[in-house]
Amino acid sequence: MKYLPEFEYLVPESVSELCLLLSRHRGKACILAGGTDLLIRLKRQEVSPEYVLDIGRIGELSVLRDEGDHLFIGATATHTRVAESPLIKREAPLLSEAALSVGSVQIRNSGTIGGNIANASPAGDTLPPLIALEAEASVVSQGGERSLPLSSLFSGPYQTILAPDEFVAGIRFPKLAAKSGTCFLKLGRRRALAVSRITVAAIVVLDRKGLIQKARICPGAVLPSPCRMGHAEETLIGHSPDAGLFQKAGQWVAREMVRVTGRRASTPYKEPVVINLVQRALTVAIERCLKREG
Amino acid sequence: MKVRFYLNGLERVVETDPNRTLLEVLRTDLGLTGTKYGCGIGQCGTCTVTIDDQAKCACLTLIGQVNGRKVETVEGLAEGENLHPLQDSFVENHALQCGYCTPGMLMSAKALLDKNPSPSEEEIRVAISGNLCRCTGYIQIVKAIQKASEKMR
Repeated sequence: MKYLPEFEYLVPESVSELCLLLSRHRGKACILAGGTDLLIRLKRQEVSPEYVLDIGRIGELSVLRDEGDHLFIGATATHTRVAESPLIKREAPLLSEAALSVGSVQIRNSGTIGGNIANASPAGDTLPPLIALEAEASVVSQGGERSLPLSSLFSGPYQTILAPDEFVAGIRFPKLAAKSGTCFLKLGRRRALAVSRITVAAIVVLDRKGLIQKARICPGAVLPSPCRMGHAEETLIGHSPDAGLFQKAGQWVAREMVRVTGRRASTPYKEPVVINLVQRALTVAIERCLKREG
Repeated sequence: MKVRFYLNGLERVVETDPNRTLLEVLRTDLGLTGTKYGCGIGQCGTCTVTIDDQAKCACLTLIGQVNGRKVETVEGLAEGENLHPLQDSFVENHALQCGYCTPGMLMSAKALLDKNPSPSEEEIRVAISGNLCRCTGYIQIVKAIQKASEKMR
């Protein structure tokens, strides 16, 4: 059995207490939410904090709230809750699909959406849909709260721009337009528990004539941190949806992947797969969009 | 530190260092070795227990996280000499060979049936997708869970 390094275990009961502890133990504390990542890192001695702050008892951090034109998901909402929430299934179906694709039942029951964000894994499953949804992270410290676009939170693989006394309290994103369709696809080495090789989150909105009015595409696991694909999105705007067009959007995503990461041993495999996955995600999103209208 | 929780229906209080997993405390301090140590990183599922009725990996749970919670392990399934219908069904359907994955499989199945008494085959497969079996394979295990769900209805 692997032993964990020694630390002091603290259980703040409110956000203000957490802020106080983070500021007092600045740089010496790790936040424990679900534990599915932190415990592994502790066991591997990748981190050795003096303090572990268990935020699992802070009720206000686990809320899932309808704010009218926005949705708010608290940091400690588990993947299971996000996946099963009727509100999220209705308003952001690609996010519940992504949450359902995380790890296994056991991991989804423990792991949290805030943990997925703060860990900043390039392969974090909920990140591409959240970025496609234009989510903003609510970042809190003793100094107060600031809101910043999720995509700007990541500075590289497993790295965020959060200060040592800041934490992610939750995320907020606007509800989708009525004439929208979404899709999240994941390709892993096996169906359960696989670290994502490639994921794609897609959102499309059609105008009254059936032309693509808005498109958002965010791949995951192929870039150092997930971000939207501007060129691919622009390719789609103003056109009527068809397979050739989606292929072109996929090619833009593949091009961007190669531009950022360079040609790697896996590139000859990943290139055609990314193209196909983007094409499939867009096809499904359009189908759902049309269904939603009808 | 002192941790108080409800284990298989009984209140337990353990005095322990905080840097220990639930799995370690169950096996070492409380002598409940039914819950197995497999990979230690949440990949194999053999340490699966339920915490407040949800299947979780005991190897990825710090002992402090279960303070005040309800924990069920494989030892809590049988009532005295009477096996739980799931356990009976695993025996009847030859759903184990070496048995190392069995406690975790049973607890994942228990959590599933508590939530969904009539699962489809697909739902059963999803529910045990975090549990690896390297000898029996999954056909008999899925069948055992199906048969148990029919009996328990």
